[in-house]
Amino acid sequence: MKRAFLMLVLVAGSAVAQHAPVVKPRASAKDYQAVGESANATIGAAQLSRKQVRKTFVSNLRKDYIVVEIGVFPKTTLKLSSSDFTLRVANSDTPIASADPRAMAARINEKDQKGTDVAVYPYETVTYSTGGDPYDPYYGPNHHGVTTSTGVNVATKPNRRDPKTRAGDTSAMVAELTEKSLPETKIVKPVGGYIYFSVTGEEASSYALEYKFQDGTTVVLPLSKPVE
Amino acid sequence: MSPKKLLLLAVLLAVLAVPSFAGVRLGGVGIGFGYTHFSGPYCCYDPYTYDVFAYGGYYGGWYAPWSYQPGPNKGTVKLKNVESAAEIYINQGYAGVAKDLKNIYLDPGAYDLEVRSAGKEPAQKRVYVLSGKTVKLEF
Repeated sequence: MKRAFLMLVLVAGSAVAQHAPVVKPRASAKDYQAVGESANATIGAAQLSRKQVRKTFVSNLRKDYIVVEIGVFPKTTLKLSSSDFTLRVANSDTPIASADPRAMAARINEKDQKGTDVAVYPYETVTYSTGGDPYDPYYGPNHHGVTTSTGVNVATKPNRRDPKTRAGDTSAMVAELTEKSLPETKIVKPVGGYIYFSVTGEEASSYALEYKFQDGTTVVLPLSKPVE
Repeated sequence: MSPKKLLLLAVLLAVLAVPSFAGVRLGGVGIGFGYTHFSGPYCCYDPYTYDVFAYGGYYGGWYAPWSYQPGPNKGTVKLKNVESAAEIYINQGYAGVAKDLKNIYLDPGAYDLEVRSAGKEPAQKRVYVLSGKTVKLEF
């Protein structure tokens, strides 16, 4: 009985947890901005512009991250890991490691809740009234007309959310960034997804993506600056 | 299996099937009373307004995995290009028809949204909701 119940819960849980991949690979590696090939796989990569990042993600990545869309087309079974991808500023030796979605979500959420939100609402009200109050000493029994009022409401509130909402936002961001990232698993079929790299200061004019296969071979994909 | 265990299992499965963000109200019976006092001029006295009144009756239950009301802790999902008669499912639970769900207010989280229109393949989308943000979903 206990075993049957456990099986039931496991089957129900896995049915709820599984859903189609959020990011599908493009038709071929050539559809990406840059292509690299080795004996094990063909890899396509494209750097997202700031506008594309804003349209693709609900999480506010600001200018803190470079997002690269990657498609991996394996020729044999391949074990993928985001840590095998490195970003370099073109013609530089300084590597930028891929960012962890959990750390990113915590950082983004912290930034989201700084400062104050100011909202301005214009309002206009038009009222028509007819008839009167026989006891009204000012307008008497026969009063009618149109009254208009216009103005602006300004509301300010701190962006800080309550702990439960903060936790909910963080878990939603973790889910989004994880589910949209390149899957970290053994693959035999083409897969697609994003990899994030944390940047500080001004964005460089161009980057190069480096992928290190498990046999030690390395593929370098030069990324041209995306058009905004 | 004994009927008691079967009942417990059914209740447990029903609880597991209800998403954590769902709103549920069980039906029941309500009774109450009140008092109305009219102090205006005699000309305007409504003879059908009784000073003391009582009410009672049955109220129905409902189950809603979404909210009609916006809130500071909720995010908004707006559906675009969806037929007004299409059925909307959130995390596999029926939410309503599209014409009643122009804005869906949800707690922060990740959801599976499905649109079922007559004569069309169901369309699914994964949606991520953050408090105070609006997501436009095009089908």
